[in-house]
Amino acid sequence: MRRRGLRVAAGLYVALIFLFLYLPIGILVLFSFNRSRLSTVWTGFTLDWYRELFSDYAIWLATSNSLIVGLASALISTIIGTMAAFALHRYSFRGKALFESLLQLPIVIPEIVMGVSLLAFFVLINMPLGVHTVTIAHVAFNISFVTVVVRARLYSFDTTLEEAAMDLGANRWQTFFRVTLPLIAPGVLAGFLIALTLSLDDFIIAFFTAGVGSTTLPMQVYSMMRFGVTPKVNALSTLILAVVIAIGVIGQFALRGKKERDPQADLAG
Amino acid sequence: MVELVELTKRFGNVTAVDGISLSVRAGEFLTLLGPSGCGKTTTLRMIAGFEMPTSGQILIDGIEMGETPPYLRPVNTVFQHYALFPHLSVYDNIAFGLKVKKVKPAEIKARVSRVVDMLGLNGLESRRPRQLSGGQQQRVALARALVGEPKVLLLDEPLGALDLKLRQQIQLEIKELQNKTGITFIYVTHDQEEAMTLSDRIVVMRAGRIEQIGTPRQIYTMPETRFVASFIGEANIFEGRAVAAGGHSWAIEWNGRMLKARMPVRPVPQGGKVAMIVRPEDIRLSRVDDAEASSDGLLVGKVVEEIYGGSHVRIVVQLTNGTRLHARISNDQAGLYPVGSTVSVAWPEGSPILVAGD
Ligand SMILES: Nc1ncnc2c1ncn2[C@@H]1O[C@H](COP(=O)(O)OP(=O)(O)OP(=O)(O)O)[C@@H](O)[C@H]1O
Ligand SMILES: [Mg+2]
Repeated sequence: MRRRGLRVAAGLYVALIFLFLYLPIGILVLFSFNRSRLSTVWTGFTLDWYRELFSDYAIWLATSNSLIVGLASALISTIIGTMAAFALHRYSFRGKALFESLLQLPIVIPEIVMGVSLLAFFVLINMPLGVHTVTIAHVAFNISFVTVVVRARLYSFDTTLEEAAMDLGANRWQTFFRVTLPLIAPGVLAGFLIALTLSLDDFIIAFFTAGVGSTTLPMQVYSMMRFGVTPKVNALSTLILAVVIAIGVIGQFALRGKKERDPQADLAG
Repeated sequence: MVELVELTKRFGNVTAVDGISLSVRAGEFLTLLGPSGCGKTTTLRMIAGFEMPTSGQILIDGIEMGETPPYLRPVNTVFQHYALFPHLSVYDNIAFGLKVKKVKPAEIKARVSRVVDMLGLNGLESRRPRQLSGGQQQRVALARALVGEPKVLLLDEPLGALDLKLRQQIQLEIKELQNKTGITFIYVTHDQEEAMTLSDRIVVMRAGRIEQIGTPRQIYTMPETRFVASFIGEANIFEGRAVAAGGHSWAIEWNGRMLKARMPVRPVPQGGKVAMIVRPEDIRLSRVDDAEASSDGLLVGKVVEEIYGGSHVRIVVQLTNGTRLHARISNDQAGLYPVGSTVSVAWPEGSPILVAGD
């Protein structure tokens, strides 16, 4: 009897946590379909807000900015981060520990500090602000995340496989592309997706480093909010949410698909 | 086929390989044998090109290897844990070397199917390595290394991860494979029985140096050092001073007795410290009563242990001065020497081996 009571209490507790996490998001999604301009009362279903959204030039611009910044910074940081992870994994050199800490520091540096310092830097070198500066800024912090993720994958990578490849006649490039890359691909892909979502998500750093005409989506949401939380903001947030969840799901599937075919992943857990 | 000249490798202040010189003949099955850490793997890795020698030279087929990278050397390796590519099928694993060398697809197919036949891997071509048993993985590793028809095949404890039964079976297959292909094999193991079974010649290594090179028979019956004598096969060791007894016969002075021995392979100084080796299978036991036991001239002791060993029985005898000897007798003699009985110990004249005392 007592145990049963405990179980019910525990279940209730979990339910409350999920409610707390997801109720606000659920309401946000729900009210993006609300006919009323006020976000507090439900007056009926409509897609008007989405229609309005799609006909708003500023939002299209922000979307394309966000995608350009996201894809470009994810791609660049994945390449640089992967190379850094390799360097750290394979070689030992003077000041390696320092190099490693410096590389991981951006993960803990407050975003506001990153934002301000990057802005100061761009001003210092006289670089006009725009999509490119946001991209550079995002690369700067994404490298850290990609390096950490790829490195974790490398720990479980058996380097005798590379020796085996070279022994069989594969030169360094062939070894990398036929053996190393396929085996660490899940880690690289995970790094890319994390970089992409972090970039799409970022408001603070973009806020400091964007210029006129390079507003990103989160910034657009923020500027729309100054006129109150309208259903249009809800609709935009809902779409962003949908995209980010989609990326996450794709990432999960990609990783799982890889794992099924790759025993190394099983060992790595 | 492979020539090592004064080959040395140091890792920091550890000398893994210490100036070894060795000449491997074409078509030979040569085994590097020695205890853990004696430098076998390091030697093999230098031949394959994974490690650069600190000094010395490696010649393969007459060509100095120098800094030649692994992918340009005419050797292939079978790794201890196989190192099969987990993301490729058995077929693609075997074909890997041919593909990267841009061999024509039709020829790749033909050559792969030939080694698949040779190693009995038919029907497994589309599996992934982890869907194979240990023995099958081992065969894929062999197939992958052989398909490129290297001049030399290097094998680093290829059977280390298999159980005894499978080991023995694949040992035979490996030997057969070597006969069939005529490829030079350099094989690393720390299992002396495996080395005996497979090799044309054995190189016994110790602490980065070569102790002795010879056929299995030479190594066993004519060990040149105490280390070789006790590492290969089992040995009862008597320590004493060498006495030249004229002609080809020597003796050692041991506990006030003279024990006769064969002439040592490597010269030992008259009066110098030596060890005399008697193999357990050479020892003859006979029961004696107390009267006989106290008579001079006989080596007498008490049986302290009898160990059943399947095909034979091992008897441990403690001599009156405390020395323990192992004797190996056949099963039908079991029970003749119960624990506690008094026995005399003898061996055929000329069977003991004399080596420097270290
Ligand atoms: N990369 C390395 N760095 C430092 N020391 C090394 C390295 N590789 C080998 N050694 C050392 O060199 C010595 C010889 O090692 P090696 O692996 O050649 O021995 P082995 O004969 O193959 O032994 P085992 O039978 O255990 O495989 C050992 O003392 C080992 O610790
Ligand atoms: Mg080894």
